[in-house]
Amino acid sequence: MARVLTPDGPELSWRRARTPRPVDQEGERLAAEMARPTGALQRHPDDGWVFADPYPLSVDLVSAFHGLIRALIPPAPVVPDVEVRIEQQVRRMMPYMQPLIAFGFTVVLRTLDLAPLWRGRALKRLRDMAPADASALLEELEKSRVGPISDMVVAVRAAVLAPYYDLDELAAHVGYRAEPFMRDRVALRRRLVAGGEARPEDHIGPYSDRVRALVRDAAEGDDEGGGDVSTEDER
Amino acid sequence: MNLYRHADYAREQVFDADVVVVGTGAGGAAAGAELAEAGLDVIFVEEGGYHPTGSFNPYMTESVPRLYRDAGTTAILGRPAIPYMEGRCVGGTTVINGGMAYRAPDEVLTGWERLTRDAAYGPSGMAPVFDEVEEMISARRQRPESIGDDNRIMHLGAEKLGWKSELNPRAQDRCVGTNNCVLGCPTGGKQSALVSTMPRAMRAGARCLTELRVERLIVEGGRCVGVVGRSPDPRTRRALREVTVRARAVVVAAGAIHTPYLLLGQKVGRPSRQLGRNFLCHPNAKVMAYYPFDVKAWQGVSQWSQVREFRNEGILFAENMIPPWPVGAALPWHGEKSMELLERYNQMLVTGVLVEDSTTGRVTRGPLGMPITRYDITDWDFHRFVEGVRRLSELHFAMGADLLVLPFRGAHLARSMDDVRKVTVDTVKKHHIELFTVHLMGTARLGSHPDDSVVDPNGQLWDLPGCYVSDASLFPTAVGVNPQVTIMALAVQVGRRLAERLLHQRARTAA
Repeated sequence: MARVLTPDGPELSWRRARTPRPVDQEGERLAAEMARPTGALQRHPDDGWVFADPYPLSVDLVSAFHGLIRALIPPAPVVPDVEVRIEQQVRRMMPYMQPLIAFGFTVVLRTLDLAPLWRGRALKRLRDMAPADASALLEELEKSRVGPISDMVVAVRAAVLAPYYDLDELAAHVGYRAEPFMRDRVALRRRLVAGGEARPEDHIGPYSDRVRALVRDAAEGDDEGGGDVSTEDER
Repeated sequence: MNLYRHADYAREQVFDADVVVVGTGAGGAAAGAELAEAGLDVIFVEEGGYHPTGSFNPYMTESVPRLYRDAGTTAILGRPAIPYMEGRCVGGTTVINGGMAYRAPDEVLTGWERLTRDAAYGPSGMAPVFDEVEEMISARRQRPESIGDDNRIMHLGAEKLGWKSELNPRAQDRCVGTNNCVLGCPTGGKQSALVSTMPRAMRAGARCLTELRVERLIVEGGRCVGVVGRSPDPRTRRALREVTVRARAVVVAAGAIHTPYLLLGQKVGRPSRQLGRNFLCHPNAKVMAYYPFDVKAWQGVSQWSQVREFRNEGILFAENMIPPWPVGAALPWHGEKSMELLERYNQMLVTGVLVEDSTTGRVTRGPLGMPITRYDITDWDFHRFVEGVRRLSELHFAMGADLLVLPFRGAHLARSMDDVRKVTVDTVKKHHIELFTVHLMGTARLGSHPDDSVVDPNGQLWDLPGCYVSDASLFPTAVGVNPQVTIMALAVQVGRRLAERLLHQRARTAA
């Protein structure tokens, strides 16, 4: 039992000093809701939160942004409306950024759109270049010895590729099928909380002969006093 | 009514309580729960929104703006700049962290005891509180059905090289390895403040004002008696409604950057000139490893174990798998090259080198509500990062990796140890290392004297009675391990001392 020294009196036993309140009914409901898994896993969950309006960008700046998106995303797989979807996603995140950062991002979009001109590469804007040429120019800028030039490309690349790889089509393309996996895990935990036990098929992997062999070797080593990667080790 | 959102402030703009707690993360929620359960009327003020477990999902689309401060675009300035992640939601950073549950080591606590001249912050004083905190968050090692192949590779790799690898205690109750820690645990297994301490406070009748950013403290007669905040319109994000909360005491737990930001604006915490200084952040560097077989590292718990062989040098290794979207954002290529690596997503492991701070930074107030944080790694840190990356690479190649992406601009790819050995402190520049962090600490340090600390051993500001700090800002020095349990233990101590004081005052008044 922890003991604390009060500033105004002698040392008191903490628990003795408590005068617990009766359980608050509304608080009890909230407490249960906070921790309750539903397994819904919705991309746009309906929890009463209101999403901000997209950050205002001029038509011209949107066009510049689309040019940068075309230059940064991989040419394949082809995803319908990909430029608009990424642009919309970034614009919906921008209101949550610090105002100076969000404004700075628009300046970076404009500056990179004009990169062919200030880099002396072509008398046109980046949005008007072929995507492969624009991509090569951005790669060159990213390698620039001038830190801020390189940082601009890094920032826009992250802003574009994060929502790109979050698209359902891309997640599926790279083999990330999180939703069905998570739904199974939510069901598993429900079972465990209800007092059930995990079944052999609830274990994850090994997914390759190599790791299977490593685990087997480790288990044999464990018999001889070596490591163990499979047994429960709860404190 | 216990939970308030923006729309509710149209009806009610003034609140009264015994204690107002600013922030609902590890520190705020733990202190608030102690205060509420002691019978005090507690109001939490949270800048972010309320998102229950049932709303968590694997998509960044809405999760990042919902759960992360500034939609994840926060960074510490310096050479190199260090992006950092901080939660902005009910539960704070505990909702999006990995849930590691390590106690501060005894050698650290011995130093704290000396600095605070208070045995409560030493090894013997903290031990029983750590016990209680670990019980609150169910700190324990993982169940076997939660372990994935990335966990196995890291742990067995360390064993193969004869390195010490420890199974992590984590804040989890029947975690099943969903590996969605960074976007909120959808099973409720991770025992974040949202599912552990906040529910306790709610059951005890606490209220929580969400979507409300505290802008200033109310000081009357030299005493802190409340806070004033503004709630932005959810659609336009422009600050609209002003809300006032008056209380007998104010506990500030807004994190190691926003706590000093708020206090600096009030021109308090000044006698020692330490407020905002002593910023610590445990910088991390990533090593992404590709194996010639499927690992599916996104299945299975994040950070089952840590390689602690080099703990004496202040270096830790851990795996920390993340979804494709942050991988795509972090990889140093775009276009086809990016896709080439992402198409091997199921064969990759994301691992990290954590280095204990050997220097400190500083938080100051910038324009438009923006804190400015400055931190420069030292030559010694840089040396340890290069050395740490080399050793971690050795582990991956020993386990069969065929390609590594290293965290050095201009020297990213390594197909063998020969490539890795080419990276030395002489061949790469210090500001070309790519770092990030989630451990922010130490800007309102505890101490025994107002000349060298910001708050007294009760957590109260030396120069502002009634104002307490209860988060990682309190750390007098770096802990060298994941800080959540230590933050909570300090918060419990601060909360209990404050409750004792307020209950004592109440009893005296009644008498």
